[in-house]
Amino acid sequence: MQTAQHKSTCPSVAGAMATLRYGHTLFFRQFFQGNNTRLGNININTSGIHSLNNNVSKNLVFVSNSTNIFENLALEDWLYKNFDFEKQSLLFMWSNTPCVVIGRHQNPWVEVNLKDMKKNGVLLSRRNSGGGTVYHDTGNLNCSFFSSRARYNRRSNLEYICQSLKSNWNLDLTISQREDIVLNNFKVSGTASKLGHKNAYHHCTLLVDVDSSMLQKILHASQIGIKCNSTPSVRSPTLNLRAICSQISVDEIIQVLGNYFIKNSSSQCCDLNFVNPSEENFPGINVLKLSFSNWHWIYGKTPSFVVNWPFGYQKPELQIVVQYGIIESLHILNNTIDRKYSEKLTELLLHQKLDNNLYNSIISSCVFKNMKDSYSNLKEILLLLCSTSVS
Amino acid sequence: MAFRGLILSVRLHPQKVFLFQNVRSVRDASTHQPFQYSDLEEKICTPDQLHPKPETSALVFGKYFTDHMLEVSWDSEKGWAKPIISPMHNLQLHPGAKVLHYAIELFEGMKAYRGEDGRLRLFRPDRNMARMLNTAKRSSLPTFDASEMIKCIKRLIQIDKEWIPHSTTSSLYIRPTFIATDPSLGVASPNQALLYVLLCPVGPYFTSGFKPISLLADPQYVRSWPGGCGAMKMGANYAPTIYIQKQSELLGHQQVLWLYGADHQLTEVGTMNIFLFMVNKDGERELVTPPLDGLILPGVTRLSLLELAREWKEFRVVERTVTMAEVIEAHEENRLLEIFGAGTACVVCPIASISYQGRAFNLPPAESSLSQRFFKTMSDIHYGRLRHPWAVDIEIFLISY
Repeated sequence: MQTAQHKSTCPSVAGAMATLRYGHTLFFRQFFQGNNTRLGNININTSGIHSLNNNVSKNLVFVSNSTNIFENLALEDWLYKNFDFEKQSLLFMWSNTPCVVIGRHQNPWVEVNLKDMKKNGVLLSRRNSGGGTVYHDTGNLNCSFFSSRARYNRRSNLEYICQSLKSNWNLDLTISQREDIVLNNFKVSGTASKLGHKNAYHHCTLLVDVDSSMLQKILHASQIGIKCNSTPSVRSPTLNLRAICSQISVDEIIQVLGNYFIKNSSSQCCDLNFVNPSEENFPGINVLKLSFSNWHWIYGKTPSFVVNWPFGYQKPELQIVVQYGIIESLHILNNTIDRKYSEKLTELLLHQKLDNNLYNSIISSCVFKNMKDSYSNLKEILLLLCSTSVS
Repeated sequence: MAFRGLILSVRLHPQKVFLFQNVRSVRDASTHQPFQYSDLEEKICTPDQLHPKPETSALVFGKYFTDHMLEVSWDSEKGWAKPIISPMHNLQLHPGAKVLHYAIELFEGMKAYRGEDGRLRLFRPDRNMARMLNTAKRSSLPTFDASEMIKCIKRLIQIDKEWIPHSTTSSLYIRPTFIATDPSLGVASPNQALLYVLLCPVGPYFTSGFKPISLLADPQYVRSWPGGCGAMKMGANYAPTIYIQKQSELLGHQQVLWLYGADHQLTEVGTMNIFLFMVNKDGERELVTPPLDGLILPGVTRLSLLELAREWKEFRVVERTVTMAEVIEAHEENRLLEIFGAGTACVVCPIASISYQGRAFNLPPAESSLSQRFFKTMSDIHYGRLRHPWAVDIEIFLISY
């Protein structure tokens, strides 16, 4: 665990700190403390040193010491917002304990079964880039390639990965049209990007030794009658690299990819930097962690959707409109539900967040006790909708 | 409600039972359960809602706000709602909201500092909360539990902590505000209110060393009077001063010296308390400031300077009325050492001259200035160079007040 040096031990620091900008082009505090820290050799204002690709002066590699999805998403976002990639590129590698990551514009209720996830202790998160839903565990390696907007090149990053894995383990990897890395017609990697005005990143997964049965189980959502316009996931059959090559592991890939990335720049920096996503090392990261793990980002950011009940029938009896994760309106259709129950139902559900409080209200409410048995399915679906939890 | 009021009063003070029974028909806001830190809901900005921070050198007072705010609403039927920290947003108010018509509003001002050791500290928040509760009562607004409020404020600051500049000349200004929101025009106790807290990163008050200021002292302008509420931190007290401030600027001055009474007592300077350091007629040095007799805002900086001076025991410390006649006499006899304002924004603000009844009284800058010594001590406490119980660590929630 990296400890920050007390800045008063360095006399020249005090003057620097008084004018320190704590905005977008933030300098690491350690930068002012000399070279005796892991991050000490990072210099945002390095003058360009010639390199192989497009005059990139420096290629850096960070590896996260954390396996918490929220901490890693926060670090990725922090790097995207605070680093200047004009004269350098960065490969950030990270792994997580079991979790699901949905794309920026996706609907978690459609992509996964929230009750199953809770039961299996799998966290749900939402990333900043678009695309589909992925399942992570420590057998999956995430690679985020950061560069300036101008030097953004997805295919070249994917080729990096293919070439370095090929040369070390002789794996016959190819890049499909959808820019997935493919092995023997099976997908071993999914890709997404975020392009900003100045900075950009392309991140991808690499299935090394993921628990396939858990993956299948979790990424299988039950149909609960949701109609929405969110980005759907495109499911493809996947394969672990370990299935083809038994010697391969996430840690070894980290070393190989990292060293390959660095060798392709003529920078003096030749170490893989193992970083702790702490507030000390990355000032301002704590609020990002809170942001990524907050209900309002994970669930509240879901584009509006409608739940039709019962699902499958031609004429639904009840329509629930959800906006920002809150039940915005309820429509009782076809007069099938008795008025006294529909009023009580509305009172119970209208303007409520789909969260644990509503879950408990539904459990303790007598509305369902008095309704016909056929409505127990409605209660189940409502409870599933409310099985939203964070960390 | 009445039963609860009865029980409360029996526990507090037996003789007050009759009083409580008498007023039970009036909904007493203080019988509501105060809001609790443990109920705090956090609606954090999404990653794209987090704003970039301005340069420390560009920090104009009160212009920049942090990403989040704290809000707690109250209503006379249901009492306090749960406190919530949410992204900074505009308020929705009915145009008939009482705050907009009758200025039922109060506010507080205090600061948090990022110390040289990296710890974040709040300066005497308990004093600001005690003052806020006092003002709330006077404004017919409901009261709350000060220590629960401080915990909520600490959590708000902790979330937005990166907004506190990494600089020992800058700080985070904290603005708790309390407004009456019920939408009815009757001039009566409000039935709805909103308590909220805003945070602003601020730069140094004096960008390059102390610049002593010049004051206009004109007795025709009265800020506060006996029986009024000039001693309360209500917004209503500030609105009428802006025009006067403008008049003083037109005459080439920086602030107004507020006088009161036929004897032209010195009360306050601009929005600060006033201190005079002089040699009295007995040849003793004394630090003088007007007493808290109802005309004076009880400043936390004012209190801190008095307590520091009393601790030092190097000169007399007196809270008493001072008149312009006394000041002029002391000035003519070369007994007036320093005059300075004291407040949260600048800590101390030395005064170079006072313009009064057509005459200008100039004070020479002191060689070893008391105001600078006060500034250094307070600054050392703020930034952790001097460990002191007044500077409370924000991330320690265990200490209750």
